[in-house]
Amino acid sequence: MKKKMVSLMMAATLAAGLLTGCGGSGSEPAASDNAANTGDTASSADASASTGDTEASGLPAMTTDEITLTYMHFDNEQLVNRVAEAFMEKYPNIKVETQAFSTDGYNDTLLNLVQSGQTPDCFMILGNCDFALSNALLGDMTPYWEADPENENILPSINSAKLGYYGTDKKLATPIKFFPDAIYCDLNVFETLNIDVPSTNWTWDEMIDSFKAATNTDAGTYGFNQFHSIITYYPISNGSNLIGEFGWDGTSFNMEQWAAGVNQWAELVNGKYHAPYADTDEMEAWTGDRTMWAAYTGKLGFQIDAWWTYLNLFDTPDYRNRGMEWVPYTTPASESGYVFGVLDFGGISSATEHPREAYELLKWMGWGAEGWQTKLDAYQDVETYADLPLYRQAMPCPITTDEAIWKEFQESFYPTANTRTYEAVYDPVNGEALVTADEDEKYGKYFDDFFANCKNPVPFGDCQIPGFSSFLSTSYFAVGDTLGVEDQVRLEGKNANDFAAELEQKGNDANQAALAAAKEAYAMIGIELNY
Amino acid sequence: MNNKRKTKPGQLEKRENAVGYLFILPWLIGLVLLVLWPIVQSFQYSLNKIKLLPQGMAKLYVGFENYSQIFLTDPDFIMGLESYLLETLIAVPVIVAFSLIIAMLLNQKISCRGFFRMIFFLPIIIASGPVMQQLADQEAASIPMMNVTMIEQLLDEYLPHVLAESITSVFSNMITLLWYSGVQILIFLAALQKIDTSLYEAAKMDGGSKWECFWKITLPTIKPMILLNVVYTVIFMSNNEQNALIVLIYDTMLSATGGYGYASAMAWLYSIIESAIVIFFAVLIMGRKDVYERRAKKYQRELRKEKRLERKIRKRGERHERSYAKQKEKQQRKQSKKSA
Repeated sequence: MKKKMVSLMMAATLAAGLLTGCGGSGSEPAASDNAANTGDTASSADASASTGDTEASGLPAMTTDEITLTYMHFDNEQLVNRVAEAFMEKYPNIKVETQAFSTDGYNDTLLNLVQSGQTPDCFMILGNCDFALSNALLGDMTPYWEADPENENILPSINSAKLGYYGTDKKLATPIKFFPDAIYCDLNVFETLNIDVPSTNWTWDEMIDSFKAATNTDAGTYGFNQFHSIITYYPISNGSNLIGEFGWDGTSFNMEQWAAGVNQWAELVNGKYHAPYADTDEMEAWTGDRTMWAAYTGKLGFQIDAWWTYLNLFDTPDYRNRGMEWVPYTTPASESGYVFGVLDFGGISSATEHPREAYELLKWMGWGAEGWQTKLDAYQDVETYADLPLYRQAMPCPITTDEAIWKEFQESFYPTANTRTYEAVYDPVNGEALVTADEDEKYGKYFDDFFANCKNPVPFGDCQIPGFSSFLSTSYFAVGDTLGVEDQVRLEGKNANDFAAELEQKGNDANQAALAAAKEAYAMIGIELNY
Repeated sequence: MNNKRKTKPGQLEKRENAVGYLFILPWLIGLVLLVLWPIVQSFQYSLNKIKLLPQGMAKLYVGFENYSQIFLTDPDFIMGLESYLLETLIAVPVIVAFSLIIAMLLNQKISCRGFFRMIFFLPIIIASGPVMQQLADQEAASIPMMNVTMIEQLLDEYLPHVLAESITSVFSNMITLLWYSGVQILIFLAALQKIDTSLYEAAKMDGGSKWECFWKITLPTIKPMILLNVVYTVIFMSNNEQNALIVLIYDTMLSATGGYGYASAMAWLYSIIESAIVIFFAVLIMGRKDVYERRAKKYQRELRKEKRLERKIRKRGERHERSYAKQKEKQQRKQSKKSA
């Protein structure tokens, strides 16, 4: 009997041990993107004979034949379907089939479709541009892009930084989703510490000074916590004519600014201006919970994060009831006015039989004013999507700079200090308007300035620099026992300037190798890519 | 008309075999189409530079250049292979031993046995793929109260760094390793239940302790299952999404200078190392003779010796008999001559 009891207890103990890992992880933010699964929406457009639009612009006319276009994406499935329906209403001879896939393994799925001869006519690409370029998936849309007058009415950086050209002479892709990066400031912390809130048109040094000012050991506050890194922002905010990470100027890397950024970041983290990292003793000492997210403590000055965090988390009762008052600042703008943003790219297939129509569909899905008007209607439709309104599901900002669209967008979903033309949408989750008059008064000016300053975004390196992903994985991140470059500076006290020359060489080499691979692939389909 | 059926000898057996093949035909088709053909294809890919153009796949034959490039330009992969090799060699015995212990505990007559069996099998159902990834990302893979840093420092003092690091990684992923044990526990449980209880009874009557019973009855009986579990564990550990090399191969497939061809070459090198690990364990387990095998071999040796001796004696006896018969014959002949 005794042995039986011992066995029973051992089995119970080990079972408990097995389940140990299932413990909750506190309040780590779950940046929910699109919970889209494979879906296939084929609207039954009546095959009525339609008159082809003869464009007043230099664009060729759309076909009047009955055709079907496929659009593959990792966006919100319901939203995309609404836009597709609106597109089919305008062009009844075109049937649009949307294919929604989750971000997990998205690029792989796209390659599988290509391999099985089912390349969609237009599609989004997730981050890394290399696989699309080295397999010549993206078709040349230069003639359409350059002839389309609507493209003068979009975020200026798309044309000035030649986004989607990838350093070549061909427009192969373009941003179709835009999330400006936000450095969220908790006004409540500044009020508690009785210090001034920085100007919304801050410079880099002002931003760093604010991080330091918000750090107060007596009050237990830290200056900043980062999801996106200030190392990423530094070259764009401080260098002249730089349009990307690591001091990318459109053709090569200039790592001086990057090195200065890494050194400053290491100094700030080691100087305890950065909040403790999760799962450390410091975090436990600060909050009593190792797994706590710094931005949930109410004792953090700035959270450097993505745009979707505002409606997903910071504007929810959970955060507001804890006294936090998060307002967004853009990353400090460079001389050329560039700020940082997350841009998701899309393009038309190099094998599509209907490039003109595919281009038009992509425009509707991405940057066109007509498409955006449809999206705004869908975002404001809180009856159809009452359980979880679409705007809470990672809503991007418009890419078109159409004033009416922006006005409606800002006033419907965010606080504003301006006289309202549009009422804020009703929030079915809270049972009141998404933006109250009080919020307009308190936060309106911050949001107005943010939206005024955010329209010149440049994206992450892997979206715009061929070879960038290979460069990071082989030369920058940790390899075996060797720490990554950033950790070598922070933990081992090395100077980032000592790495700059070698990294610059490796980065440029990786870029040239990737461009050569792209040129080789495009040559196979008869397109000469010059760079 | 002659209706008499002519059957050749062995024809029935052949017909029965054909029916057997018919039954396994769906599996055979699946094997050829979904396993063998992709294996051949991936080897073909590994000898080519591949572009997946929307207009169709473009292949450029480069021989073994992809393989040589991996060794020349891809330190990540080679270092990854090294650490994978060490980690697997250390983690597999841990998992198999743990599974055996749990299986033996669950084989006892304890209350709520079914519940505990379910608990230990549960991770297999719920913790796969993305779930596993999430749990690992949220630091749920290590035992919180275990001071891994301390273990690492201690091991680093006495062992080479590479080895210390591999052992530490086993400790820091302890929960994950325990989660990997579900199927192995099930296999061991089945094997344990098949052991004839009369063996234990007999051993008990001869004064055998539980410890002796384990080493002399349980372990030798389930030895083939240990090999099966080792093979299963190696393959499971090598092919899950947590594996850094799988992630690297996947990333290479999408990179500018990599592609399908290069990634296939990596996959082939990886599978060679994986097979080598399986062979190593197979030789280690099947090569070792347990006490009964040793005794049986000794007994057979002695039996052969005895037979040899017996043969020798018989031959000697026959020889003696013949020479005795000859002598007798001679004597008879002599006597008959004398009498004549």
